[in-house]
Amino acid sequence: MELLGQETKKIMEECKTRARAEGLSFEGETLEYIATNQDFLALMPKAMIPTLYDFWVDDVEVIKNKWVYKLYPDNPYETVVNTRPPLSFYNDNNADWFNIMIFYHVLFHIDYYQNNVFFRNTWNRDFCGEALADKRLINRIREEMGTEKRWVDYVIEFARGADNLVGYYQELREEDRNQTRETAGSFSKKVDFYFGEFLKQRHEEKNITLKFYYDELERLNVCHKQFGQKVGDDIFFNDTAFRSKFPEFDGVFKKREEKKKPKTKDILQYLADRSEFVNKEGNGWMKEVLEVVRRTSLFFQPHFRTHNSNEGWASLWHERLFIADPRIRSHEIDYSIVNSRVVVDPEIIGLNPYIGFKRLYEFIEELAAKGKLSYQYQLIKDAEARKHFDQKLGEETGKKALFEARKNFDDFMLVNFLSDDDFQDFVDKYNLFVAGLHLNLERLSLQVYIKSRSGKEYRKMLNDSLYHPPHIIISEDKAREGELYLDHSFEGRSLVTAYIPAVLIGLSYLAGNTVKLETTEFDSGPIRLDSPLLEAGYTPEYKKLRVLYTCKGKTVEKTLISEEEGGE
Amino acid sequence: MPNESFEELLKRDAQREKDGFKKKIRIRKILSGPDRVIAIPYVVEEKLIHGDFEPTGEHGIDQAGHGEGEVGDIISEIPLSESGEDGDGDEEIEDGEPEAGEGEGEHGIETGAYQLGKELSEELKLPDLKDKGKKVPTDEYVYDLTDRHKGSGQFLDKKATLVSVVKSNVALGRIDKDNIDTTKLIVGPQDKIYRVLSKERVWKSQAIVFFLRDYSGSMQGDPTKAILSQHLMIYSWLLFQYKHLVIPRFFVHDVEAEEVSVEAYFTKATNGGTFIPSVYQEVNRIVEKENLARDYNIYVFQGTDGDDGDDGEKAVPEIEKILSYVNRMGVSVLRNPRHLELKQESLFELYIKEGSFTDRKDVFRMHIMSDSNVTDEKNKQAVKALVAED
Repeated sequence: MELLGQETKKIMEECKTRARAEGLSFEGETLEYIATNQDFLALMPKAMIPTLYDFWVDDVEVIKNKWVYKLYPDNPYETVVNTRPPLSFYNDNNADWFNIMIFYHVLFHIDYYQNNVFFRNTWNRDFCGEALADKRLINRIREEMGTEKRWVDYVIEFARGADNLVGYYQELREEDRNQTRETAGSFSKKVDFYFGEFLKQRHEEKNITLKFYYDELERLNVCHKQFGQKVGDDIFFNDTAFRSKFPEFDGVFKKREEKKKPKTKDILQYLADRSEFVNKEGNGWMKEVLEVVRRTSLFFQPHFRTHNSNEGWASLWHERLFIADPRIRSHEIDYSIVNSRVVVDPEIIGLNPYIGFKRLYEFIEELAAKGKLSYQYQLIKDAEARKHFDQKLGEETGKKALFEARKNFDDFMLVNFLSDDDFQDFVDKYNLFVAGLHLNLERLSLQVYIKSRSGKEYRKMLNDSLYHPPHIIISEDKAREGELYLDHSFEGRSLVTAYIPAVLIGLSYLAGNTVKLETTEFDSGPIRLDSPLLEAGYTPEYKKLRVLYTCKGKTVEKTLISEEEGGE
Repeated sequence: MPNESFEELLKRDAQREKDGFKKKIRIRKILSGPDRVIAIPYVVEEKLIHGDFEPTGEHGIDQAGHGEGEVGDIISEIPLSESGEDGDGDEEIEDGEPEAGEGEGEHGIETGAYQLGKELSEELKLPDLKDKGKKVPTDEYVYDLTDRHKGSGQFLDKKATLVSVVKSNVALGRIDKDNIDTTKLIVGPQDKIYRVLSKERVWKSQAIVFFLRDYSGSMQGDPTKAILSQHLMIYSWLLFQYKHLVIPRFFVHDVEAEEVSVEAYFTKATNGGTFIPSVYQEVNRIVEKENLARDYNIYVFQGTDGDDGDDGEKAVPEIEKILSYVNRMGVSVLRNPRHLELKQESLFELYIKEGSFTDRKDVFRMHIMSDSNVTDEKNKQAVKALVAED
């Protein structure tokens, strides 16, 4: 792997200039490397981040990649890493003219990373540098463990069993709160408690009126105004009338503060902070490993949630800029061939995010340019009137909406932004449909048929295909002393049951205690997965079970909590 | 580059068991086009993720599509052999990789499968087979460079030529046995002896293996996958044992039996009931009609979930007949885990017990296992049990 040569770098810089003229925005320099197919094979299991911590499972993946490559050679064009400065890798087989297209594609990935709000917690991070520090930390732990170093890998493995459940949104929320505090200021815990829980409870018990609440707010404002926040608080809470009305306040507040444990955002943080085993003397290294795995996973979370939009965004711009680039001359046909493999609908069925999400962006841009992203337009139900509605707001308005969509939407929001009517128009415009599968036993084939052309159905199918980890919370109410109780909120999908025991055994090791998982499963008897294929709308008989897995050490047992009948 | 070699990784995996954890490295063997079986290592990282079977179909199997057509129109058809559905003997391959089972022909799998059989024999320490029959001439011929021809031909047989040259020169008195000078030897055109192609009758010790699969409704999904995987391994092992001289014949049955092509065997499904004796009768009829018992080592391997519409009345005499000529009959029974837990025996197991077939270990083996969470390792153990000689 080596840095891009000066000549090619010059081509890249020109791409940047042209892209910036179209609204591309990112900070600082970029680093580009030329990589071979073998480099790609070795780096892919590490998400193309050469400095990511070592884990033996990645080595198996590399070996697998190499063996498969011998039979099915692959030629990846590029990869981008969201770090500071942004890194990108280009295949050494790419021709210069082709790299121009790839450069545009990559530059708009970088633009997406640095402007889409779902990445805001990565904006100021040199992730490759952090990963290197983490890698060295784990290697140092391995060295210190000597012959027992394999236990480091067990801890990594157990932690990775829950690393898809990291509190990504909780982290974002906390960051937002911190920023709000910085800009708008904040109140003391005592004031928060008094106006939040304490008075609210008394109002619900009908011990105080709303008027009292507002009077108290006014009294606080006067105190703050007159004496400043800190002294004002003291005077507010030492007021004689207050103390005689709520003599119990100080006691209740103190008790609540003592009882209140800091909230953990996810299982890994819980284990790192609360597990007696992990926090036992001599096991401190486990805490460090848990934090590395958690930190790494958090970094990747926005990538999972924006993958489709990000590809759609980069494809939209590489297409627009490359076609307009004079350096394409004499390579128009080459470009058409390559681009048609990237930005093209799969044969009849299947979803290609490069084109599907590119079209969503384009559709939003078009709606905005015609003034259709307006209340006035949304009220129109007449199909002809909708079709011919055009306020001619112009390209700039369309582009503004396009960049706003890039800034504020992840995959889910992009799919669900349009109204039902607009989405139906989108589906109609591109002739999209939901395809159903039917198993034809006589012909021994799967028949693909047009199941629906409804926008609602199409959108539901898209939503079902998006990344969505299960919602599993730590339930302290249901947990018995010392145990970790995981409660899975059933959202219409059950978990992969075959994986549950291994995950629980790993978590139980880290917790040093019993781990329980409450979840929902189906008992469908002998009916198999392909049965719905036989008959459209067929629902087999089944029982919906709420079950509890209990893991003590390496023993996992399952018990039934409740059941309900379902199906025909 | 990986930090650890594959050997080191395998050692690490073996150590896991000593530490009380399950092994993680699995080998996926796939038929990948004509003449190839490739084995690739992989690890599944278990996580709490969505994805198990949902009977409600709420988050179903629908896909995105585009193009012209009315609702209800059939727009495409994917043969099951390409779709990866319903077991092609291999586990599925992850996204972005080649589809398993693509394009294997009736004979195409053999070269790779032979290699797989060799690996399995070594890995599982499978027994070498005892030949029941002797080698017999067949109606087959092969062409080999076995005939010799003086003066011209395809391939100079140096040893035979040298003998001929020496003989001629001895006859001419040009050789002094105490002082041989090769530079003085005369080489006549007729001394050059060549090998030429010859049509040779094939003498073989060969085997016929009958694969029988219950393809009724209750077998769909995991049981079928497991059976096909096991049968592929057995076929590979026999190919190795008989140095390719194995003729596989495939039968599926529900209430009726039918001989099918290898492709159909690996893909066909139905929704009917089950009548196991139907397939036994078919095998016996063919063995008798084609007089196979005289010339071949015969193997019968069967996969079932144990359900049967017969209580043994028809099946037991047919099995007796089969056992009279086979080298081995091996039945893999894939049972519902709940029934296994409750120790409920299937009808099939009951009449096998009644017929005391399990006592005839030299020719009959039965292996019972759960049809859920079937792994490569469990399938290998099943194969080992079915072909064991102990």
